[in-house]
Amino acid sequence: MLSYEGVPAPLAHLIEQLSGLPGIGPKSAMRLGLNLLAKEPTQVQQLASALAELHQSMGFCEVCGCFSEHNHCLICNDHRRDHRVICVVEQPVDVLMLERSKTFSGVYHVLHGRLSPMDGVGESQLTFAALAMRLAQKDVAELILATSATVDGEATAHYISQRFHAVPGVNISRIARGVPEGGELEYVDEYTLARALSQRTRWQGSGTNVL
Amino acid sequence: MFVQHIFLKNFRCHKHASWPLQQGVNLLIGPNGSGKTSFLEAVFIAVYGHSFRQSKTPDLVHFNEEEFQIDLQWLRYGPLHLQVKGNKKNIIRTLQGKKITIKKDFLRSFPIVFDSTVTSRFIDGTPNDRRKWLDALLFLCKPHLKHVYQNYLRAMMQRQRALRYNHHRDMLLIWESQMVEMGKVLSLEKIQLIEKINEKLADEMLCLNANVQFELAVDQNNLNEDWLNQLKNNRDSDKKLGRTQFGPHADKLSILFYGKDIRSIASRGQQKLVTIAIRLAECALRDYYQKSLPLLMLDDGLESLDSDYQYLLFQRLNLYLGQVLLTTPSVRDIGDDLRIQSYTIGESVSAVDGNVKRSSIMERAA
Ligand SMILES: [Zn+2]
Repeated sequence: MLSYEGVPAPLAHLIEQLSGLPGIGPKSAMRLGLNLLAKEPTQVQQLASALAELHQSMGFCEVCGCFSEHNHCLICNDHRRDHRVICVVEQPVDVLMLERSKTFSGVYHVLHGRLSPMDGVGESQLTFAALAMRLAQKDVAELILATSATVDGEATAHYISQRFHAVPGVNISRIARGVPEGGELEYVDEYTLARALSQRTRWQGSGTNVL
Repeated sequence: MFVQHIFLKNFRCHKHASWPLQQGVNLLIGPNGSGKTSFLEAVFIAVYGHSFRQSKTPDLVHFNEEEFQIDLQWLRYGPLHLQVKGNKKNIIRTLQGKKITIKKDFLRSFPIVFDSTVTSRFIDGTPNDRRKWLDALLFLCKPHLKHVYQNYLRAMMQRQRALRYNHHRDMLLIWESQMVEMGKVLSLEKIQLIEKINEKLADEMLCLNANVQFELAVDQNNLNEDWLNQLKNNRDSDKKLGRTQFGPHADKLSILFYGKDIRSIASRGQQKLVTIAIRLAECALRDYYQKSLPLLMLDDGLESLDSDYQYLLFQRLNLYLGQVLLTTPSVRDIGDDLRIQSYTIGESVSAVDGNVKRSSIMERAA
């Protein structure tokens, strides 16, 4: 902990707040604080209002649980998207990442975590009930399980498939794992390689190969 | 690949010492307390970055000195210079003058197999110790299994926690199926590895003594088809104990001699031969999977062996295609037919000509 001796209280207060942010140590917090102090007051005012507004105007979509400004997110409101295909992810940020690939045209369901008794996360802490409601109310053809490739993410995927496999008309799939695109085999760890080998898919020409 | 020369400076009881080595079998002879084991320890530290003894770094430095230094001159395609410098706080290793950062690849490029009586004899160890040995060997031979094992352990801890907080049985089943899925892979691989070790051991016993028959056996409880059911049935007792009773994390590895625990019926000499046979089998497997024969280091390698057994052992080691470093307080006559080089500590080892050689080799490496 940095000593704030001699630092005026308002500045010390700011530095303390800044150093609570991820990736920011007491020294960078001090630098940021001094930098803000050196800026034009109007510029700093803009930053302050952006911060103040963040929690007032941002929330989560009532349907899918992703970030949203209103009750429903842009994706759930988009009628050009295929609402019969739901991709299940752990965190809202996963939606942003998947959207960047610009290939998925379905909708999402955010669990807000993954099963992990060690961290006190059981089924009631995640949004399984909301997912069950979506499946009961809407015509859904496919659930794509895009939880992380960790033991906990895998267990979460298992749980979802066990709980919902009997819902009529719903196919359950899991995203593929393996060698990254453009990745040299040399730099892939043994575990990923072994897994990619054991879960290989049949070659059907042009790369669009589904087993 | 083999070590040509070991130089020690201010390391343990040695102020300056060196041991020139040949490609095959090398004996280091010296009374107890003369610092024989320190040479093997030096090689170990150079490769692993820490000692096999349960001692802290300050003890490695010679009394009244600030820094120790270990220089290993290897020969692979060309000369390789591996250096360790350590003070009372930390150890820095360099290869060809470059600091070593990635430990994993390093263990594979410089394979060593070490047997010592300093810590505890392999045979006297607990089944726990032996399982750890087998796991380490498994992960060296098939590196991806380490990740599978970590995942297995994670699923197991999640199940224990779920048991403690009385999670629904559907949830328990999720973690249990994860455990079984990964545990089965591990168990099968372990059984296969043990089969391979036993094959090699059978060969070794023919070399060493045709009348001895022994094998390693692992508890196969977790291989049966009903493992998942067994986990379900054990929920209450596992919860009470606070740990999972069966699985690859709790395998018991026994060493059988004519089908019985080796310590109950084999003589000390037979136990020693069997231990070395296990190390030779370990070397053979490392060679099979990593395509490189380990440097075999046998600390007090002739302990409890009578002259007949010593003769058998020398004959066998003479056939080993890798390098062998063996320390012993004394030795019987080594047959003239064997290519075994021996040094006596305090004479040849710290002799003046050793230090002359040192400077010329050091210059070449620089
Ligand atoms: Zn939404």
